[in-house]
Amino acid sequence: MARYLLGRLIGLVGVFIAVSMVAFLLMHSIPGGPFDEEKSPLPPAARANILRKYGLDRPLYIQYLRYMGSALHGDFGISFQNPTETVLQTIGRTWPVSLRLGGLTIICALPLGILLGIIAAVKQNTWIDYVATFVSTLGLTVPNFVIATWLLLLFAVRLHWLPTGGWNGWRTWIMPVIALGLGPMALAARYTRSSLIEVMRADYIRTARAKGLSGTMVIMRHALKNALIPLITILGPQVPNLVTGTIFVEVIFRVPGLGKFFVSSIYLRDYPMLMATMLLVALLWSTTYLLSDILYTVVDPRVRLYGD
Amino acid sequence: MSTVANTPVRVAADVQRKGEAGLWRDAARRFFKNKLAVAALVVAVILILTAIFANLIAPAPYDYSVIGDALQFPNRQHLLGTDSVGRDFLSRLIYGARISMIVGFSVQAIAVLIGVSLGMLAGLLGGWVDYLVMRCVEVLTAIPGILFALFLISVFGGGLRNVILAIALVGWIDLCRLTRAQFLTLREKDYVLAARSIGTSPFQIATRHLLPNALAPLIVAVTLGIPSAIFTEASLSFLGLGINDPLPSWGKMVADANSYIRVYWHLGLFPTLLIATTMLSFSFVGDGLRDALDPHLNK
Repeated sequence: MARYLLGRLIGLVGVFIAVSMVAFLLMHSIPGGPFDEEKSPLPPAARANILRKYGLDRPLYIQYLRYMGSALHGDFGISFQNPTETVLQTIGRTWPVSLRLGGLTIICALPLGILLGIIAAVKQNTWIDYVATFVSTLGLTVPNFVIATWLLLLFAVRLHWLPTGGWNGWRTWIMPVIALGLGPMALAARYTRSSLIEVMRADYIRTARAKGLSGTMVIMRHALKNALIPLITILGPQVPNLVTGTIFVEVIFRVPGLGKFFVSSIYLRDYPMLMATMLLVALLWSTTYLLSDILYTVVDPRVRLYGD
Repeated sequence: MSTVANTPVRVAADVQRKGEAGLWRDAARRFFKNKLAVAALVVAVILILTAIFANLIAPAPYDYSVIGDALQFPNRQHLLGTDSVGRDFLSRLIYGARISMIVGFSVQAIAVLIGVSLGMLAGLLGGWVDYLVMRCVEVLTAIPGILFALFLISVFGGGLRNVILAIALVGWIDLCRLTRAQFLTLREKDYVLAARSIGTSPFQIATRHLLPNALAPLIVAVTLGIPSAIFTEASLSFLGLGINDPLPSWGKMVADANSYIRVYWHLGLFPTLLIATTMLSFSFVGDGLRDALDPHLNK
């Protein structure tokens, strides 16, 4: 286990470095810089001064090493679009909003999805199953900005029940959470359903039934415990997925979170901001993968990791 | 003498051909028994035909704008209304199908080219080639695909060609993994050993023996890759980082509708309905193909 973990961690660091290099290179191959003539008309000497201040006059690999050096100390520089704040402060201000949106979504979507999956599995091939399957297919295949637009049209434009956007109070949370949560809910429902149907065919379920346990009892005590194991590997990566998913939902509902800020960073070529978000996402994404793999072996002793 | 030597060979070839036809015919039979998949196929074919014959069906060119006619609700002259600069919305939606299909199919073509060949190389040669390919895959999967595509677009600019390239550069990964995994299992089979023992070259083993046997899951993956490419294009264009005006993209149309949606509901409703229909129909066709081709259900 220790050897496996060490190997995975080294791999993770390697991938992380590669991602940072690719992102850095890509970002610096964008034609045009933040202090170009048309954006900030300055005398050449002043521009040279600013370029030197931000280290933009040095060779690329020096810029990269410098950047990574200070990034390791938690210094991601100053956001170009928001010069009064450091990147870390900007992220610290906007990320909690996205985190709350994502957290609310997980809290609502996963239990609902699992419940939907159980119902669909128990009532297999009835109309309930078909409705559940249809809803989950919709959530999995349709982009969330499409769902968001439908919600807007129905609840805000047609029925006037909810505000069209913003982020103040629970009334503004409802539509973003539904739009963002339909996908993860669908995934949870689909895997719970198929995994539960498979488990229900196992011998120990037949034994449990044979000794006279009620249907609900069999499902709750015996089937569900085993059926939910595969969910870990599938849903683990959904957590950072929500970070990217929020981009669209935040844009459409005008939620002042990291996703909305990320899009404006692309428009405005805000290198420090882009780089920091990119690293953040890569870190989140790869650690959740690792964690879900480890969790999997803890929950299911039949699974062995390589190198054990 | 020669006839005697040839006969068994010919018989074997006939048997093999019959077996192959049977496999695909069985799959087709299973597919056409699946009502949902067939219905989805019909819808998908209609969408593809709309895309191909957009210039014949559409009542107006996609970029023909009459400012005086801007923001009309659906009426007799403009069946689905007009957009904010007075372009016939139905025509733009029809041409939007063309853009979506161009993106979906060309992305998959490029992804197959890169993914299948790299996957074949990695699975067949192993060693450092495999190592290199898998590390590339690992780095690319460390960031969500759409973020990576966003980055590529922000570096190289938007537009149809760049959108296709950006999505394809992310889209080959799954195909590569799948091909590699298939090759790794298939190359241990006895018939590969047999082929090798009679001196078949590795290239021939790959193309004549391994690839045909790995084909079924690849077909499913490519079919499901088309809606996912369309999905990504719509998302990029929605953020204003994809297809540029005046070319019609459904995703862009949804984004443009966002500022008018309180009153002009048709601008938001129709493109989203089309995106959803496209995604659902292609996904159901893909799922149907998977069920039809799945060897585990072949009993």
